[in-house]
Order: sequence, then structure tokens, then C-alpha cells
Amino acid sequence: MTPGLSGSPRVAEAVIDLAAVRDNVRSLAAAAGSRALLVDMSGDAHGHGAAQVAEAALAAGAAALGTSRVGDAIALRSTVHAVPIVAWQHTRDTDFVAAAAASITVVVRSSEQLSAAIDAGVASLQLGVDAAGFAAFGPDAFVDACRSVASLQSAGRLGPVGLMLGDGGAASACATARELGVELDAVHAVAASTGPTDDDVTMLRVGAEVLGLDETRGHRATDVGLRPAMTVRAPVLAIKSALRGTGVSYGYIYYTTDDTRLALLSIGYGDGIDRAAGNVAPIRVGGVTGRIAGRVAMDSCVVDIGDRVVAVGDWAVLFGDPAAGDPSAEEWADALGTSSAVVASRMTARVVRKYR
Amino acid sequence: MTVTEAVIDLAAFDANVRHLAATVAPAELMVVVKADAYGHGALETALRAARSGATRLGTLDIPTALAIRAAGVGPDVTIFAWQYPPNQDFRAAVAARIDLGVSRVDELRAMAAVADGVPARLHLKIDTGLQRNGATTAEWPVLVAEARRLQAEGSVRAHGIWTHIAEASDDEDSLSIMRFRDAIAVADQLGVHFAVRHLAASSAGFRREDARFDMVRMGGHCWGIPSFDGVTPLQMGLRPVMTLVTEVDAVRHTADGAVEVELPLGYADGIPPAAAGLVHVAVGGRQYPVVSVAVDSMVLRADAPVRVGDRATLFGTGDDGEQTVRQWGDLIGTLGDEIVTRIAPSVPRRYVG
Repeated sequence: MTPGLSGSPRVAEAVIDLAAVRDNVRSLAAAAGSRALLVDMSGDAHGHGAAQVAEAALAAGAAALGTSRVGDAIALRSTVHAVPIVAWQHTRDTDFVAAAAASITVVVRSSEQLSAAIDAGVASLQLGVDAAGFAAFGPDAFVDACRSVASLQSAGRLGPVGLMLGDGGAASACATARELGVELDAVHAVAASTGPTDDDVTMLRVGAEVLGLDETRGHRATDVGLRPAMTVRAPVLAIKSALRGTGVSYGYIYYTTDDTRLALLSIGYGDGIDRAAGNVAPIRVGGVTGRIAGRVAMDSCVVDIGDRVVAVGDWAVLFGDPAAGDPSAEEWADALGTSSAVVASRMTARVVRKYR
Repeated sequence: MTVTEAVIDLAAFDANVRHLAATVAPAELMVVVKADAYGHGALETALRAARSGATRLGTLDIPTALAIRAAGVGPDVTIFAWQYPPNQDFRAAVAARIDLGVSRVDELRAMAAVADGVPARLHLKIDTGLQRNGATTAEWPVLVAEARRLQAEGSVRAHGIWTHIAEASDDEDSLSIMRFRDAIAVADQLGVHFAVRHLAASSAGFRREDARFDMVRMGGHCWGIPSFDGVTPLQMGLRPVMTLVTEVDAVRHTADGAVEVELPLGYADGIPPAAAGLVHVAVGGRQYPVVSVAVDSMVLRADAPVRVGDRATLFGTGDDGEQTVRQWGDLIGTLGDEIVTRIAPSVPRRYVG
């Protein structure tokens, strides 16, 4: 072993600050006023780990959880009890019987899905409403579905159902459902597109905001007081000297401008940072934020560290909490022309998730 | 039944490996299964390669190398690892007869220190211009001399010399080849003679005889992904190994008469958001453009009837009218290697062939 180092081997890791998740949920809950929060865990909570984020969100007052796929919802059910878990993306292999057994709230988006869910014994149902969001109910099909639901309810075979709203359209969808005799319970909509006067909306759906990512009400998450939960860092594997004018990494898209030192980092596109991040994405090594030098390879990338004090085994931070002086996922998103939610979500399974 | 899956065609993989081995002969081929075999499954593909006669596997890291040994690939197959955490313990790797790349004297000593009667078999790395791992020209004689000393003690065997090249241009690569030859000559003068010399990966290994030396390490080409511009897999005698399929989960008719088609795969599953506006997905033998990619879904724009439940092929061999992952990479401005490697474990792999 390299002298001076001990403990488990350092590899690229994503450290998830669950205190930030709790703070963000409290802040979003306060902004939601009397409405409850449904926290969307899709994409393994944008790569943060659904089980851990769910626990933190519920501890901070979230009233319900959602995740697009029934299989992921059932997996969440093994640690989350007595809280609604909503799932809305179905294919022919979706197991509605297992969903019913795990008390998953199933959102149906077509008449076929409604029949399949009822036949499978799903007790908790919601109708997915096509406003500007993407759903299969056209206006006519929505009316048909409401009639079916109302008839099942009047026969005592189905309790109140919810509505999952896309982007807007709450009042008309609720009015239509009620006129057709549907007994409604939870109505949830995307938080960012819900105004304070949409009285029918009982629950706000939040997702990446909980992780301190992406835009909320037209502002960046960090501009509205939300904290990024994920910090991605990788150890320095080697340091070498290089003369001025030395080409670095594949294709030599970077040349040193002075006699300098180069630090090799154990993170690459196989870990989920874009190959295109070379020369543009920020990275903090030895207390200084610079740029990745040259093309990102599958398993490594390089930083030009000049005369900074850096040793083999030191951590380089790719993105984290700007309040701690680290580059943010938002800066990565700007450099890559994408969103901070995308940047964090795309870290691969090779990056070890740790929680604090 | 799983409607979303990455189908891994092991027969195509076998054929690619055979073709590449013949192309680089008399040099040997090392099949590189790092990063979970570029998303194809390191264990499944390594076992298949070994069963089909491959004798050299590259894994990058020691845990993958150990897992392949533990799955039954014996020491008659070379398994090569070369990138380590800063405080790596080499004991298990040396005991399992894993070949180790070494760039620094402190690593070399750590490997020698855990040799258990049989010397640690090492590949000394020279940096020929990539500026990643590898001893610099100045450090090289020191590394070689220390290897010679430890070899005389019986704790290591200086089996190979190797490098990575930058592939910036043919001229730059020629310079790297020259530096590699110089490093071999320096070692010869110091009395260290390597049994295996390897420099080239997929690109130079396929095109340049003077880059092959005794062995060529190939990843991308084994998966049927050409590394050069303007060449199809077929033109190289290769077949793409991964085909990514799903089914249409919703269809919507927009006010302007277009059809929007939703697929249940998004960026958390590994679909690059940059694909929007650039690549096509095949449904029913026709290609439709990707217009957006969300966390768990994506939307195509169709100009012909598409129904919920229709099978969609994102990329693959082209047999169902789909693009290849090499084409996706070209259109997005990256390598097909990056796309397949980042397809997430949320997409089940199914092995055929």
C-alpha cells in the first residue's frame, strides 16, 4: 500500500447528504402551504438512491411517494409502510397483481389500463389526465373512464380515486370528473406549474427540487434556497510533471501552457461524466477550481494542477454544494448544455453511493 | 416477459472476437471487459470469451479480475488489471495470478511484498504521450532497474511492457511507437527483456501493423462498434452486440396533427438527453426522430400510425431498420462506446446466441 494511506480503497463516489434532502423537503412543504407533498422518486431518485431519499423525505414531512414504474414502487414498499406510493408508467409486462398486493396506488392512462388494474384487484387508483402532460386519455376516453369509475363506485366496488395532473388543467379535469359522478380524493400536480388558486389540487408533486437540482418556479434550485444533496468526488491516482506544450489525453484537445503538473483522476465516462466534459467542466482539486484537461476517457481524466499542493489519494470534487466552495451540478449543466438533474442522474452504478 | 431490455448477442461477440484475432495475428488479442464489458456484462462476456478460446482478458480493476477468476476462468487465461485505488492491497490479485500493470516504484514494491512463492507477474507501463499512467522517460530506467532487482529476488516477473497511445493523429501515434521502442531498448540495456509488448487498442490495432507488437487490447471493436469515422460495422466485418429495445407505452395526437409516441426509457436509464433532435428510433421498421428525453421516458414524433404496445428498437444491428450505436455516437458527437457503457442496470440484459 502507498505509505500514509489507510482505510478502504478510494474510488469514485457520490456522497448523498440526507440532511440536505430533509431541509429541502421542509422548505418545499412550507412553500406548499396547506397542500401535501408527493415526492417523485423516479430514476432511483435521480440516481441518489430511492430507498434512502424516501426515508429522508418522509422524515421531513412528505405525505406520499411516487415513482414511474410499478417494479420500483414495489421495491420501495419493502421499506416504506403506511404511506401512499404512486406509479404511473406501464407496459405489457407491468404486474398489476403484485401492485395490488403491495398496496401501490396505480395511475391509469388508458381504458385498457383501467380494466387491467380493476381486474387485478388494485384498490387505490388514480386517473392520469392529459393536459399538457403526456398521457393516453384523450378527452373522450377520459369521459369514458370517469363513467366506468363512477359506476364501479356506485356499485361499491371501488373507493374514491385520485387524479394525476400533467401540466395544468386541474379545474376542468376535476369538474368533468365530478359532473360524471366520480368521487375524488387526492389530486396531485407538478408543483412548479400549480398556482395558489388551483383549489382542486390537494397535493404537489416535487422531484429533482428535493435533491437541490433543476429549476423551481423559474429559478435555479440553489437560487431559491434548496441545497444540492449529491457530491461526486474521485481520488487522485498519480501526479506527473509535464513541460509546456504537452498534449494531454486522447486526441490532444488540450495542451499545457506552462511547465506544470498533471493529476490523473479515477473517474471517466464509464462513471457517468460526459466524454464531452473535457476542457469545459469545472473540477476542484487542491482547493482550486479549474477545468478537466483534455478528453474524458472511459475510466479516467486529467487536471492541470500547476503548483497546487496535491498528493496522490487526495479527493477531487467534480460537483457538490457551492456553499462548501465546490463546483455545482448547475455549473456542469451550463458547461454541457443540459440540466443539473441530468448531470446527477447519469452517474453510473460504478460510482459508489455513500450517505451522511 | 420483459419489454424493455438490452439484448446481448454472444454469437455476434464470438464472431467479432474471432475476426479481430485473425486480423491482428500473429499478435494476440486481449478482449477488454472493463466497465462491465462496456455495459454488456463483464462476467457473462468473459466466460463466453474464455469458453470460445480467448486466452487474454483485460479488466481495468482488480475486483473484476478476481470475480472472473472466481467464476471459473483459470490461470491458463491471462487476466490483466492496471488501474488501482491509491491504497490498493495487491495480495488477493497476486494470489489469483492476475497480471498487473505497474507505473511507479511504490506500486512495484507493494506488488513484490505480497508475492507468496510465485512471483507477481507484471507489465511495466511507459507513458508514450497520453499523459495518464505510465512512467515518464526520466522515471523509466528507475522502474526497470527496480523490477530487475525484485525479479532477481524472485518476488516479481517483469513479463510485459505496455502503453496507451493518444490517437491524436497518425504522426503522433508514430512518435508514440518510437518512444515505445526506445523504452524497450533501454530495458534491454538494463538486462530486462519483456515477453509481451503491447501498445495498441481497437483503432491502431485494427489499422496499423506496426502498432501491434505481441498483443492488441480491444474493447469497442469486440462489441461491434467501429472506432473510425465513416465505417460501418459490416464494412469492418463486425456485428453490433447490443440491441436496445422497448415498447410504445403511450401515443398522443397533437393539435397540429402530429403523433407523439412515448417510450418508457429516459436519461436515468442511460439514454443521452443530447440524443433529442439528432437520432432516430425504429418502430415497425420505420425510423422516427427523438424529440425529447426525460428522466424515465422519451418522446418520438411519428408521421405514420403507431400503437401502444408496438416494439421500438433504439439501436442495434440495423436488422429492424434501426440505427447502430455507432451512428448514435456520430450524430450526438461522442463514441458508441460511451452510449452502451452508460446504459443503466435498470435495463435488464438478456443473453442470446
